[in-house]
Amino acid sequence: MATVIFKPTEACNARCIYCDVVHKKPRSPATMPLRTLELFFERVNEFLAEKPLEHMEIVWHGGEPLLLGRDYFMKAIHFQRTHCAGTSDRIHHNIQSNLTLFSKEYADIFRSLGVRSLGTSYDPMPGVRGLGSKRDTNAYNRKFLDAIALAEEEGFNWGLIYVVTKLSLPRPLEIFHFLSNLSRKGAFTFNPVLLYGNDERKIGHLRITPEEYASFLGEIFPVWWRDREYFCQIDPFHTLTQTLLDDRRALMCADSGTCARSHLNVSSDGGISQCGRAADWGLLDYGSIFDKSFSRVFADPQKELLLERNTILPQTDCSGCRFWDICHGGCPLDSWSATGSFFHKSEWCLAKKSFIEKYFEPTVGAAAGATEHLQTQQPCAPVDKHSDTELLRSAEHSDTASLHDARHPDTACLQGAKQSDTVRPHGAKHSDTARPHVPDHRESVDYTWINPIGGLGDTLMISGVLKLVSEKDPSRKFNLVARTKYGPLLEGHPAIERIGHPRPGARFLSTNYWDEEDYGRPGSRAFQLLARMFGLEPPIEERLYVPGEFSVDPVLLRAIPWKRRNILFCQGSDSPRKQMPIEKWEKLAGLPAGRKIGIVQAGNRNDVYIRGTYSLLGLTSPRHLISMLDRFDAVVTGDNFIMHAAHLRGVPAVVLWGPTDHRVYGYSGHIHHQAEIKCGQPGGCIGPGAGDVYRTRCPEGVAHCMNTFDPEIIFNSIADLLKR
Amino acid sequence: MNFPGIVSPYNEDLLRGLSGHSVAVRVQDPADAAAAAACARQSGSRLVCVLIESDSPLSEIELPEDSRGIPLALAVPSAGRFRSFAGRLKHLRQFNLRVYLSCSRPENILSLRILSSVGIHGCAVIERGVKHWEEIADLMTYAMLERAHHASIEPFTFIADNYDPFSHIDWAFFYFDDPKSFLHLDIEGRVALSREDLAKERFVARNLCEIADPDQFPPIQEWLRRRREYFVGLHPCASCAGWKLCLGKYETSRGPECSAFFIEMIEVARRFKALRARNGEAQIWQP
Repeated sequence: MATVIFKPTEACNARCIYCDVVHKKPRSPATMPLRTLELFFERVNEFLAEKPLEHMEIVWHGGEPLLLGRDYFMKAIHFQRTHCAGTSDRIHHNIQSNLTLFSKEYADIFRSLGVRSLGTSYDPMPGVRGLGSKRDTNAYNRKFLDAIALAEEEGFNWGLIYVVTKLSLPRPLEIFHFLSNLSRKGAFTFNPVLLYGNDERKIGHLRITPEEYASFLGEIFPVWWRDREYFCQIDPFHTLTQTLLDDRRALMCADSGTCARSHLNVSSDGGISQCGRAADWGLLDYGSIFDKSFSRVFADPQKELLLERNTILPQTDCSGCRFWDICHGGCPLDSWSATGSFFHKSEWCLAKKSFIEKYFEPTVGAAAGATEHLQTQQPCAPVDKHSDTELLRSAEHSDTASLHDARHPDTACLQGAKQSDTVRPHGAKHSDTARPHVPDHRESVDYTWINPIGGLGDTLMISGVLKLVSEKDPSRKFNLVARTKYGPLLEGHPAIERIGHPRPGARFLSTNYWDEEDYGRPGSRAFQLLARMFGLEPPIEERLYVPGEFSVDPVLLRAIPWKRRNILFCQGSDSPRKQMPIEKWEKLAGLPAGRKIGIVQAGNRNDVYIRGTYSLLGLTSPRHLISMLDRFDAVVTGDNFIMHAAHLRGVPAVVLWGPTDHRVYGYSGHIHHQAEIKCGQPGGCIGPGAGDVYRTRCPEGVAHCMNTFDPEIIFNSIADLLKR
Repeated sequence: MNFPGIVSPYNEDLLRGLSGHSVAVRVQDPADAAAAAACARQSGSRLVCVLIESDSPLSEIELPEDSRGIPLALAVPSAGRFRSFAGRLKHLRQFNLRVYLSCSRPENILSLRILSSVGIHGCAVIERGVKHWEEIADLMTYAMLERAHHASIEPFTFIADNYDPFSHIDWAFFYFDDPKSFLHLDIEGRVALSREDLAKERFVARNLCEIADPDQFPPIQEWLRRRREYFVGLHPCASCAGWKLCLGKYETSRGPECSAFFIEMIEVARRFKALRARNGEAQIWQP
C-alpha cells in the first residue's frame, strides 16, 4: 500500500501552538486549485494502472481539510470517478482533521469516499489548541466534543493523537484518564512534541526530552497494562505489546526503516515530498505532480538515501542495539533536524529504549519473557528500488499524523529477526555485527509457534506465505503446533523447524486472518492478510506451496477409466453452505455425455456421491490428490481445498461461489461463478463472528444461493476451459 | 430520542392529557396506587410504574391487594422495624415492588441489604453529599457478587448487567432524574427536568405541548451538554478513573471517597461479568 499524505489546503481555522503549518511560510496557492486536484487523481490512476497489485491510501490532511467545503470534496469524488474508473477499488481514503467543522453533510461525504474512521488531534489544555488567531480553546473544545459525539452517532470510528509537551508532564495519569473517558471506543496515541528550526525560540517552553517522554509513558503504562483489555487502543502501548510480546510487527513509519518506499506527500501547489513533516520543513522535495508520475517519485535517488540508513546505522549509531528491529534508528527527519544528516539515529530512540527498559520490561517481563528475543540484527542490505511488492504502508509520526495508517508489519529489516531465547543483557553491545548470529536451534531456540486454524485450503495459503518468508530470509523459522490435518502437508517446509507441542509460555501466532481488521474490506484478500500476519508487506505474489515431491499412487491411476479429456469434480466442503446441491452436480455430470469426457469425483469418504462420475471419495489423501491434479484437464469445485490446490498445480478450474467471495479467496486464471445472494446476508452468512453456522445447512432451502447456478452455464465454462 | 416518559401527579385531568406517553404516576398514599394505575391506563398511557412517595417507614405501609401486579416504586424514609413486617414478607414478595431508600442514612444501606436477602427488590438512592461511601461500596459488592440468591439492588444490578468498558453507563433514570428518560409535571402540568427542579419549581415549559421535539428543546439539549462541559472546563471529574460510571453525578461533593467508590464499582462490575451465570432469573420491572 502506497500512502499519500494529501494536503490540498494549508488554511486552518485553528492555531495550535506546536503546529508546523502555523509557523512556516505559507505555500502558494494555499488551497489546491481544482485543475491540480484533477491532475492528482490522474496521477493516482496512472500509478495504480501501472501496478495492478498496488493499493493507494490517500490521507486528507492540511491545514484543516474540512475548510475545503462540501463542493471541493464532491469534485474530488467526481474526479476519482472520472479518472480512476478502473482503479478506484484500490484507492482508500482517510482523513486527519481537527473535526471542529464536522457535520452530517461531511459524514455523508466521508461515507461516499469509503472513510470509516476519522483521525484527529486533541489537547484540552488552555492555550495549546484553539480556534482563530486568539487560539480560543473553549470554543475549540466545545466544537470538538460535539463533533466526536456526532461522529459516533453517524457510525464513524475515530482516533486522536495527543502531543505530549512540557505542560503535560506533571499529570500523565490525569491526561490518560481524561482521554480514556473521552474516547470510549476511540483510540488514542501519545506522541512527543517535535521542535524544529525556529520552534525553539517560539515554543521552546514546550520542549520535552526523550527521558521525560519515557517517564511520562512510564507513569501510565502499569495502569494500562493491568487493565489493558478494558481500554480502547492506546499507543504506543498497544503496538509495542503486539510487537514485543505477540511478535506481530506493527511499526509506525518513523520506526519501520522503510518509509521511503511507502510514503509521499502532495501539497496544495502540487509539490511532492517525502511526508507531511518533510513538506512542512522544506526537506526531501521530489518535484511536482505537474512533471512527475508517482512511480518516478518512488524511484527518486533521495529515497535511496533514506533506505541507506538501514545499512549505515547498524554499523554506527545503532551498532549492537537490541532494539534495532523495532526502531531502525527512528525518523530520519529527527536526525536531520539535530545533525543536518539523515545518517544518525533519532534522539527519540532513547525515549523508546528508556521506556522499554525502565518501564515496559519490568512490568511485563517476568510474566511474558518480554523482549528477550530481541537481539542485535545483521545489517540489512539496502533494499532494491521499490517494486509492487515492496511498497509499505506506514504512518506519519508527529501531531500531523494519521492514525489510520499508524501500524503495519515491518518487513524490510525484520527478515533477520531471529526469535531466539538467547538472552542478551540490556544494552549489551555486539562487536561482530558483520557476522550473523546463528543460534543453536536444538538447545536454545524456541521459535514462534504457528497455531494453524482453518481448513486445508488455508493450510496451502499458510504454506505459500511461509515459503515467501523463507525465501526472503532463510534463517527465519517457526514451529508448528502438531495437528493431524496439517502436519502431512507442511512436513519438510523450509520455514518450519519443528512440528510438535509447545512448552508452556511459548509464543504463538494464530492464522485466523479473518479476525484481522481489514478482512472484508473491499480489495482485501485472504492471502495478503496472512502474509501481513507473517511480517510480509502486501501486496505480494500469491504463490501456494507444498513441500516435498508430488507422487501419484500408480494403482489408483491405473484404476481410473481415463478418457480423452478428464474433469475432476469436487462437490464437498466442510461447510454445507458452500456446496452446490447434489442434483445440480448430477445434472452437470450428465451434460458431457457422448463427448469423450471423463468425470472423476474426489473428496472425503462421507461426501455425497455424484451419480455419473467415477468416485475416488475417501481414496486419496490431500497430498495424493494434489499430486494427481495435473492429470486432469479441468477441475470443477466449490470454495474448498481443491480450489486452492488447483491454483497450486496450475490446473484450470471452474469455481462455484456462494456465501464466500471469489475476490477474497479466488485466483486469477480460474473461471468464477459467483451466486447472487438474495437472503438477508448480502455479505455472505459465513465470516467473522458466525463460526457457529459454518458447518450448518443454509436455512433458505431451495433459495440457498448455491442452488441458483445453472448447470448449462457451468458446463459452458468447462467447455471454454477445455478449448484453451 | 423517543419522547421521555412523564412523571405525573395522580390527577385525572392531567393523566387524560398524557395519552400515548409512558407515564409514572406519583401518589403519596399506597391506597391510591391501583386507582392511579387504572387511570393512567384508561387514558391510553403506557404505565411505567406508580411512584409512591411516603413519609412512613416501610414497616408501617400496607400495600393493598388491588395493587398486586402493578409496578410499584415505593420511596420511603426508612425500612422501620423489621420485626414489624417480618411476618408479611411473603405477602410483600407477591407485589411487583421496588423499595427506594436513601443512602444518606447508614441504617438504610443495611436495610437495603437485608431486604435484598429476603427477596425484596431495592434501589439505593445515592444523593449528592452522601458520606457513607464505604458502606455503599459494601452494599454494591453484595448486590453484584453475592452468590446466595437475593433480590436486585439497583442501580448496581443494572450497572453490573450493562457494564461495558468502552461505554458510559447513565443510571440516573432509576431515580427518574434523566430528561432523556423522564420529565416531571407538577399539578398544573408545568414541566421540570428532574425531581430536584420540580421541588424547587424550576420549570422549563408551561406544559408538554411546548416540547414538540425533545431533541431540539433547548433546556434538554443544554442538560445533555452538561457532561461535555466537564471536558471543556477540565473538571477533575473528567480525569477520574471512575467517570464512566459516575458521569459527574457527585461533582459537588467530589473527593477521594467517591472516586474510590466508582473505581471499585468498575472493578466489581468486571468481576461480576466474569462470574455471573445467567440462568433465567425472574425479571422485576425497571423504569
